[in-house]
Amino acid sequence: MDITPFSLDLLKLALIFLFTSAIGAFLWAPILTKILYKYKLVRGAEYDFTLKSGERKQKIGTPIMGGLLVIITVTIITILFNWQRKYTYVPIGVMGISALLGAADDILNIYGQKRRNRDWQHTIILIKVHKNYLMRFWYLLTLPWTAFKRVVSVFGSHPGKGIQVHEKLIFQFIAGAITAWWIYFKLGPYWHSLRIPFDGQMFVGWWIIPIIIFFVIFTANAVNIADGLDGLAGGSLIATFLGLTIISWAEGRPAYTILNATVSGALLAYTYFNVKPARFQMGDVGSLGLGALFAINTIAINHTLLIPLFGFIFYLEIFSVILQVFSRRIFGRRLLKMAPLHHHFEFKGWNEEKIVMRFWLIHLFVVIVAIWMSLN
Amino acid sequence: MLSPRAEQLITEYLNLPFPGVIGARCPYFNNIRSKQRAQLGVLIGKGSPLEIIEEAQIIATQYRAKEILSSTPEKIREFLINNNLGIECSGFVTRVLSAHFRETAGVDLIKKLFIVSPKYFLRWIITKLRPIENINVNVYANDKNTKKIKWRDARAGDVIIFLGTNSRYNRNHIILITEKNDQTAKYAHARAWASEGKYGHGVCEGEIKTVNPNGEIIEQTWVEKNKIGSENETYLEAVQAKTVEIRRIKI
Repeated sequence: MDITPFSLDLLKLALIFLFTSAIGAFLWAPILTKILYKYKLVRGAEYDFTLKSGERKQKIGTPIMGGLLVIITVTIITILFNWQRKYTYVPIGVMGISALLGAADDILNIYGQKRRNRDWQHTIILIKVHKNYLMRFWYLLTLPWTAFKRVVSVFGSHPGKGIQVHEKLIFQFIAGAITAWWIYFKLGPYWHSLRIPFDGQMFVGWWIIPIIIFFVIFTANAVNIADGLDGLAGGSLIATFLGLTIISWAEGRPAYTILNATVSGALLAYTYFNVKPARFQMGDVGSLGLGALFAINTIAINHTLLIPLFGFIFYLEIFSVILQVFSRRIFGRRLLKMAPLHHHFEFKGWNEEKIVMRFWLIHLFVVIVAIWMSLN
Repeated sequence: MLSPRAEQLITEYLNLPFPGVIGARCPYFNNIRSKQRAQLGVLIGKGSPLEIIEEAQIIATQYRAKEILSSTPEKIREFLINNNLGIECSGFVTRVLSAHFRETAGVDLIKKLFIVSPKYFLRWIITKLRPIENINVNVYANDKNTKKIKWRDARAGDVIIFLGTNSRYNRNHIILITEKNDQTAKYAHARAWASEGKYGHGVCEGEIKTVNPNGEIIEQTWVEKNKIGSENETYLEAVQAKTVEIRRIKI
């Protein structure tokens, strides 16, 4: 097969993968729905206050973990037909780790026990008064970790059950570190530089490692946060992965062209079932897994700096949350009526379909801009 | 007289402008019990009427049916109180006086008040970022911000400060004088009387009738909700306080 840039053979092959994964995912989606219902992996209202408002009540009882449709379809197709140790091994592996983390969170949010975090002041008191001096020393030693837990907990959305923010960050750090190891040591010196649109390359050396870890963690969480309205994350990810397919094809990278096309196909089937009223929702299993895969696939084709554009709507959503938290905690004022941004517009009276479609269009436009910048 | 905007602000606290509902008086809320830290100003008893309404709308959207906010004033007040929304005494005075001085003297009172010395750097930075949340009765009692005056010299815009009103909790209180002539002075404040129970408290108006022009403020007759003497809990609080002073903002 000809694998030069803009190869027609590669494009045809990518499209076949896209069709296959779309049809495959479409066919087994009803089975997944049955399984999710059977094990009662459905959305409850206990910890999600947004479900208590009139317009969103209908979401109670909708299966979560629908993201498994994409994760499993992509994994199977890639292992069977696109398994290349140098290129697709790590992206699928890291997606798997992130998806497992998300799955654990989804399941614990339904079946888990309520969990309590010891607060900062309580730990200080224990350091002073605990009857066991060894325990006092232990609390003192782990004080920075307690402080870290306290600080990151302000970004948590489900206090009580599920995996907590600091635990998520550890797993995501591991996923990011594996990616960084692979990129830095296995892919070669070309990836020790960052490609800058219109301006060539910038050598960063080992600094690429923290940069990669940051982007993997940040992007996975960004997709996770954007998965709040029916169809929003799924539809936006289609544009993102199609954009990456085009770039990989244009640069003659067959493994990634096929992988991205496979994800796009599976996402088409997923979004078909996820548009309002959703048959199932992505859940953390899908959003964390696909978020990590999106970051890795973009880094692997050396367009790291364009991740915020290829994932524009996700980055917009996560920044809305970060700014809202900072504004609340530092200035004592809300920046938005509610965060993430899609809830702000809901509060303003926009209906769900309007928000989702406008976000899709904005996202698609920015992805096209990113494609154009990648080609320069 | 206070400035028109300050008067309007008091009216809005006495009658929160929820769309289509008249008579929802702003409840009292003090963060002393819930001890929220680094929280929204409006959730620690420092919000303006519009901020309180907006927060109520957000909470109603999140937790309850939005219909509550277009029902009766009693239900709205109950909703606000159950969700820790209201105003505390120094928050109320700061909001009103801030509007008053901005209109009458072109001065930003919140920036002008001395809250904490730069010696305590972290605390000082916090007060610069969130001044209104850090202004309490002690800030008004500080000689750097206010000066003590006699009852006969008091006028609209002055404040009455109670320090140490409760021997157990050592609480303070502040009242804003809204009008004054030779016979009477009108005042407004945010307060919670024990006799009013869980849902009766909030921003209130009262008056002080001058019986001894050269005497101390507690020698005058305090009338609030048609109650005088020990039945008037504001007066009772004044009597029990370790210090009661009338003070004028230094602008």
